Order: sequence, then structure tokens, then C-alpha cells
Amino acid sequence: MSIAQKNQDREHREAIQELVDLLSHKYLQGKVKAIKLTMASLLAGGHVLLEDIPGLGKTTLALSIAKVLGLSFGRIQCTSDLLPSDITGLSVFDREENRFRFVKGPIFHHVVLVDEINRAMPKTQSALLEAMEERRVTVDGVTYQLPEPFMVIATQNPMEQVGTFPLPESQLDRFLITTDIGYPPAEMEKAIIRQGSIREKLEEIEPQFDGHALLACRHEVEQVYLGEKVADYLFNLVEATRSHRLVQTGISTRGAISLASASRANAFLSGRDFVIPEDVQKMLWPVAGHRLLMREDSSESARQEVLESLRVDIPVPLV
Amino acid sequence: MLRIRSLLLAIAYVLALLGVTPLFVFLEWWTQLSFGVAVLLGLLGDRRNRQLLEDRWATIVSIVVTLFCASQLSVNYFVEPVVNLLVLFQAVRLLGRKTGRHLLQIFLLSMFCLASSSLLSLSLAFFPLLIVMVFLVTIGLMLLTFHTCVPNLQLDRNGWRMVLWPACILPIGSLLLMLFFFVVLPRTQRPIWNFLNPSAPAKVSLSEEVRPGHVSSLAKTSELAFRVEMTEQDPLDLYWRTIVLNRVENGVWSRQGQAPSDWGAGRSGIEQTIFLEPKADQFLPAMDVPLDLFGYRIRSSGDRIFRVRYRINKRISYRANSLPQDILSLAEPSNESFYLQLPTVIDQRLLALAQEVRGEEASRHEIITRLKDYFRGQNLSYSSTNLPQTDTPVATFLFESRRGYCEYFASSFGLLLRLAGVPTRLVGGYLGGRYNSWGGYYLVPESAAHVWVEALLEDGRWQRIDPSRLAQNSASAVQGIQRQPLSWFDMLNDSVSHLWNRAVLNYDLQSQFEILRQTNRTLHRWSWRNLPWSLVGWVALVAGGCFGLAWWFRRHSGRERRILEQYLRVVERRFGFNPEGMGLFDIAERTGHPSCRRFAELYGGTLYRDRTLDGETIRTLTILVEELARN
Repeated sequence: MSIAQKNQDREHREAIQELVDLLSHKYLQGKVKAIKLTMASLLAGGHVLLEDIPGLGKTTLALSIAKVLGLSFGRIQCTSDLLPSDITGLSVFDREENRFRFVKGPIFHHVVLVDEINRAMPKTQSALLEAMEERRVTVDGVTYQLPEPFMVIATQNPMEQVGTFPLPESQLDRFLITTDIGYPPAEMEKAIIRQGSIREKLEEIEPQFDGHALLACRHEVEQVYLGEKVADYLFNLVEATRSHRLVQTGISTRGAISLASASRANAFLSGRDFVIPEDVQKMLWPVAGHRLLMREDSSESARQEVLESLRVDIPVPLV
Repeated sequence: MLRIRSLLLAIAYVLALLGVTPLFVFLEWWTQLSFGVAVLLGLLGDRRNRQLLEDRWATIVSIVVTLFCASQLSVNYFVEPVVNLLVLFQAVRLLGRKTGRHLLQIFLLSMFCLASSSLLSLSLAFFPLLIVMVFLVTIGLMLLTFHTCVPNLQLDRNGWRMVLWPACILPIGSLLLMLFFFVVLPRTQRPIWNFLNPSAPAKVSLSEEVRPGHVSSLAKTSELAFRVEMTEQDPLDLYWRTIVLNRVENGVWSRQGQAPSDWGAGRSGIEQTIFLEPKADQFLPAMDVPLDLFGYRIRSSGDRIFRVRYRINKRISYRANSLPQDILSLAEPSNESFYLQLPTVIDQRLLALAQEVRGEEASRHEIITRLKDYFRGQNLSYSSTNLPQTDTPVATFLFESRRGYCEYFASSFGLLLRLAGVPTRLVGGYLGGRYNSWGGYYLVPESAAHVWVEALLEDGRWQRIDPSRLAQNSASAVQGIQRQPLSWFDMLNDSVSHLWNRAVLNYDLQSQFEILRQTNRTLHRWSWRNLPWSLVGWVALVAGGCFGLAWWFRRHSGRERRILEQYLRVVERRFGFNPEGMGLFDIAERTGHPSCRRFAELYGGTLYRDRTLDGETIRTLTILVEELARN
């Protein structure tokens, strides 16, 4: 690796860190955790599922991230009558040219916000999730590649509501990270109330980055070193979930790989070129939480307790 | 994941088998059968998790077995019933329930079995069995403590490593202690519990009489008579002198105690150390002609025969010094007549033959030569089977059957020499031996027992004559067996058992005193010059190497741990929280101290990149920790 390239790498990393700072301090106050996780997911090439009640700035978050990175943004509002073609796009007959023309759906954007994904019918969900996994869409026998970088930020209302179709576990697995946004701290919320919505301010955001730079960053994230000791630690955590008495199915190998790449992204965002156990710990709940299949008799909050207890019990490698 | 219980059961069965193995051949057939069946059924039952013998029934069976075995006890038959009882108890235990207590009983019974096997035989197998048993029992006891607390405990690989590591260290320690106590604790002259055993029937080996014609066939046993540590010798010199027979009566040569003294001297000859197996008589063999024997309470008689006062009912060892030449001579020439005594009844044919051999004023040397020629001319053959039993064995042998073994040759030759006026005696002992070049010693079996003749020449010197060599088939018959070299397997096998005999079985109070004396002597003569410098050099070199290696190892593998522990201590003292279980970067964040952050970056950067700390980093880390400690 040449010195110039190294410097470029450092620039990328610093630029991304600045972006996170900018977003969390200027536009999206009090959402540092969500921003960081979303950025990490973007860097690791995964998708994010935001689980929170409406009105906490999920859309704002997605929009501002797309804007600041200079990426195109698409939005899908899920309803129970949403069809797969509403997402992927469809072929319409062009009378002038006398042939079918493919009209791209909203999924053909860099950042796609899928609002209230659990309102869509399973068929539509499945089409969406397939596109997320394959990163391409096939309509009428023609395959269309989705743009790169590509990230879906889906939101889901955690409260049980009428007319929702909860995502099955196998599809939850497609999301690298799940997180909530949470209420901002009291002082910050008061300031937000005084200033009003910042939607208009978002229009002012100047793109600081572009897709190519982001892809370069992704490449760097892949190069972040994950040593033997940290891999052992990660494995011990994952394996412990499999034999935990409250868990029916623990974290799969794909889950472990996801945890590793999310940890890499976290290390990158923290300005390191190697993964430390704290990266794994930080990413454990966002990455592994939704992948645990609990026993029927255990409550939903037990997930977090299980992971927290494992984090405490399994020793961090220090020598 | 392996359950502790599975391993415990496996250990219990292996221990039971180990304990019974050395006993097995001594058991009654019904004990053998019951034990075998119990092992098989027990294994099957445990596999299916079923208990085959209810506790109540186990108790009843045990009582019945005890009563039965007790009914067989007698003063002379004591060990066998007890041993059978032990094995039957073990069989009952293997069939019964196996809780912690019962497993402990199995362990204990197997140790009793092994211990009691030493009452019946002290073979080399005892030692490896003992070592394996010590290991297994320690590991078993350790696992048992876990098993008692959590019966269904399962352990993963790390867990096993943590449990088994100390469980292996413990027996190593106890074995070393055992070795120490074996050398140091005072030992009895005889095994203490030998009183339980009726003494083994005395082995009939070399007889104290030569009586040809007494048996029709000579039984040849391949049992060992003795081992001799010495350099390899010419096979023609390998005569092991044991006893001298000086009186002949009724065709029987025997030993009369008050024999005239011989005189013989020589400078130091061939050194031997002889390890004698237990035997019925008290005579000690040594290479012909022995100058002297050194050992515990050895008496010598005038005709250079050595004996001990006590019965040789255990292996003994002594040193000897011999010269393979005719060096003995009669101290008082006037005592010649002692070796000319004749039996009262003599066959006429022998008298005639003696007369013929003697001729007119021939020298003794000539007489011997003539007699040898006569023997050769008779075409006598060496044979130990199908011999006629007569009252006149010598005459029958010489004139009729012409077949016989060494006793026939020697007694007829000896008698004829006496009749011809040459003072003669018979010497009993052993001929030949197979050399074990690995251990550097000769193996002499009982089958090598031999008799030859010593004749007194005019100059008063005793000359060794082996009449058996005059047989027409002497080359193959007399020394045939001894010529085959030992196979390397036999050599190895015998070397090991010789070592066992020397180092363990023969190690008694006397050996301890010998070591003590030697130490005392060495200390008295102590001076820097006597020190075996090459040995000291080697020891120093090895010790230095070990020390250096340990130092290097500690420095290179332990220093990370050391500096980390130091750091964690300092953090706890300075920032007042226990950093245990926290990651380095978490600690740094919590303290917010730049030095902690630097430490995390340096140390974690090395560790999590799978690198090793170099000297420079270590120095920096040390400085960081010192700074933290100082402020």
C-alpha cells in the first residue's frame, strides 16, 4: 500500500468521522448511537432495522445520512395493499416506441427508507428482502442491478398493532443491525421543541461525500484486522448463546460473520485498523439481538439480559 | 462435552481390571468366571443405565461370599481365600449401584487387589500397574468430588483441561515422594508379610551328591540359576565352580566336610558380580577358579568352596574374583591320600582297566592322557535320556550302554583315576551361559548344571579335566544349547527384569547400609580434587540450560501478563474501581486518563493485532504504568 493511498485512507476515515460528528451535533442531536450504527451498517454493507415508535426522527435520520453522503434517496411507505411491483418497479407499454419500458421503482436508490415494513404483506416483504439480499431486481425476466452502495433502512413499530405482519426470524436475519432511536435527552428535546422540526434545515445539507469514496471506505473496513484473540472471543460469545438455557436457537454462523463485519466497521469508525473486544461488545446487541430465537416461556426483555449476562461472563482476552 | 460420570465409570472399570490382572492366574476358576461376567454385565448395565444388583441383594451376596471364603481359611492357606474374596467383592460392586461412595469402594478394592498381588508374585508388571493406578485413582478422586456435588456435570474442553491438569500433577508428586521414601525408609531384611506365605518349595538344582544311574532321564529345566555381570569370556573358560565332591561310596560321590586345604594365589583376576536366584542349597557359584568372594556372611572352605550359613530363599548378590587357570594346589602333600579313598565294592572290570591304564610306573600326566584316550576309543556318547538303571552304573556305562550324561563321565573318570592312584575329586557347578550384551551379564540356567573332575598332578597342582568333552558328540551335546545367541527381545526382556531385581527386589536394609557406608566413605575422602568434574560440568550445563530456558520463557511469555497485572493493580488503586472483566479500552474510557488511553492503544494494538510486545513497547508501557502509579 503506497503512502499516498494510506493518506487517502486516513482522509476517508477522518472524513467519515467528521460526518458523524456533523450529523450528531448539528442536524440530528441526541441520535449519536443510531447514527453511528447506521454508518457502521453502511460501511459493513448491511441493512438497518429501526424499531421505534413514530415521531422520533427515523425518516430524518435516513434522509440526512443520504444527503450528507451525497447519495440518492428513495422512500417506500408500506401499507397492507402495497404490491411487490410498487417497490421494484414495473414494465409499462410505451406507445411511441411500441415496446415495454421498465419504470424503476423506489428501490433503485442508494439509500432506501422502508417505513413500517411490518405493515406490508408477507409477499411484498419477501420481494423487498430478496432484493436486499441479492442487490438486484428481476422483472419480466430481465435483471436490473441495484446501485452501489445500497442500503435499506427499514422501520418497524415495536408495538403490536392491528393489521401488521411481523417479519419472520429468517428475514430478520437479513438486517445487519437493529436499533432503536430513543427519546433525546430532556434539554435537547426542549431545544428541539423550541426550534421546531428540522426538515427544512435538511435541505441545506451539502453533500460531503460520494458513493465512490464510500465504496473505498467499505474496502478499507474489510481490511480492518480481526486478530485471533478477538475471533476467539467472538466465537465464545456466539457459542455461549447456542447453549444458553433461555435461548432456543443461538446465533448462526452468518450471524457471527455479521458480528465480525459490524465490529470491523465500528473499529473503523473509532479510528482503528484492528478490532478490539469492545467493538464486539458494542455490536453484540444491535447485531445479535434480533437473531436470537428465545424459548417460548421467556419474555422479550430476556434477549437483552441473555446477551448482557454473556458479555459479563465471558472474559475479555487480555493476554 | 463429556459427562464426568462417564469418565468416572470408565476409570472404575479400568481400575478394577488393573487390580485383578496380576492376580488373575492365582484365582480359583469360579472367581475368574464371576469377575469376567461381572465386568461384562456391569458394562452392559451401565450402558443402559440399569442397576443389575439391588443394594439389598448385593449385601446378601457379599455376606455369603465372605462366609464361603472364610470357611476355606487355614494357617497354611491364608492368602488365596482372601484374594478371592477381594475379587468377588469387586465383582459385586461392579454389578451394583454406582454412587460416589460405591465408586470409591471400587477404587479402594482395586488398590487392595494390586497390593495383595505382591503376596503372590513380585513381577516387574507390578510397577507399571502401580504407576497407572496411582494416576487413575488420583484423577478418579478428583472427579468424584465434582461428581458428588453435581452428578450430571458436563465439562467442555477448557473445563477438562482445568480439572485434569492438577489431577495429573498430583500423582507425579506422589510418585516422586514414593521414590524418595523407597530409598530412605528403613527396609526389613525380609518382606514383612512373607509370614503370610508358606515358603516356596525349595528348588532342587545342583545336587550335593553325584549318583549316576539313579534316574533314567535327566529333567532339564530352563529356570534361571544365576546372572553374572562381567565382561564376555572365552566359552571354554566358562566353568562355574560351586561344590567339590571328595568321597565316593557305593557309586555315590558326596562331600565330606573336613577336606584338606588347598593353596592358591594369583593376582587380581576377572571381576564378577553374581546375582543368585533362590535355591535349596547354600553353595555359591563363581567362575572357576575363584580367588575370593565378597559379600554378606560368606564362608569359604579349604577346597575353595564358598557357602552362606543361611538358606538362600531370596535373591542375593555377591562379588567374585577368579582366574581361569589351574592355580590351586594341595597345601600339605601328605594329605593326598584323602583324595585316594576308594569304595569298598569295585567292579572287576574297572580294576582291570585301572591296572591297564596305570601300567608300569607311569606319571600321573601319562595316566590321565591314557585314560582320555581310552574314553575316546570307547565311542561314548553324551545323552541324558533312556539310561539304564543299574547297581553298577559306571561299569554299565563304560562297557555296555556307553551312553550317559556328565555325572557318568565324571564319576567313572574320577573313580578310574583314583583306582590308578591319581588323587581326584569331582567338581559340581555349571558350564557355559548365554551372554546378554545389552546388560553385560551372563545368564546361566539350571539346565547348565555340570560335573567335571580335578586331578592332582605330581607337582601338587590341581588340573581341571572335563570328561564329558571326551564324548563323541560332545561338540553338539555338551555345549550345544549354550551356543545360540540370545535374541534382542530376550536380551531386552531379561535386562529389564534384572534391573527390577537389582534395584527394587534386592533393595534391602543391607543395601541401604551399603549406600550409607558409601556416602560416609565418599564424604570422608571428600576433596575438591575427587569431584567428578565432568559430571559436575554436565549437571551445571543442564541446570543452566533449564534455568536459562525458564528465564527466557518467563521473559517472553510472561512479561505481557506481568505488565498487564501491574497496570490493572495501579488502575484499581488509583481510580478506585475493580477493572476485572473489563476491556482495556473500556478502562481507558472510564478513567478518561490519557496514560490509560495510551496504554490501551499500545498494549491492545499489539495484542489484538496478534503481535508480540517488543522491548521498546514494553519500556514505554512500564513508564506509563509507573507514571500512573506515581501521580
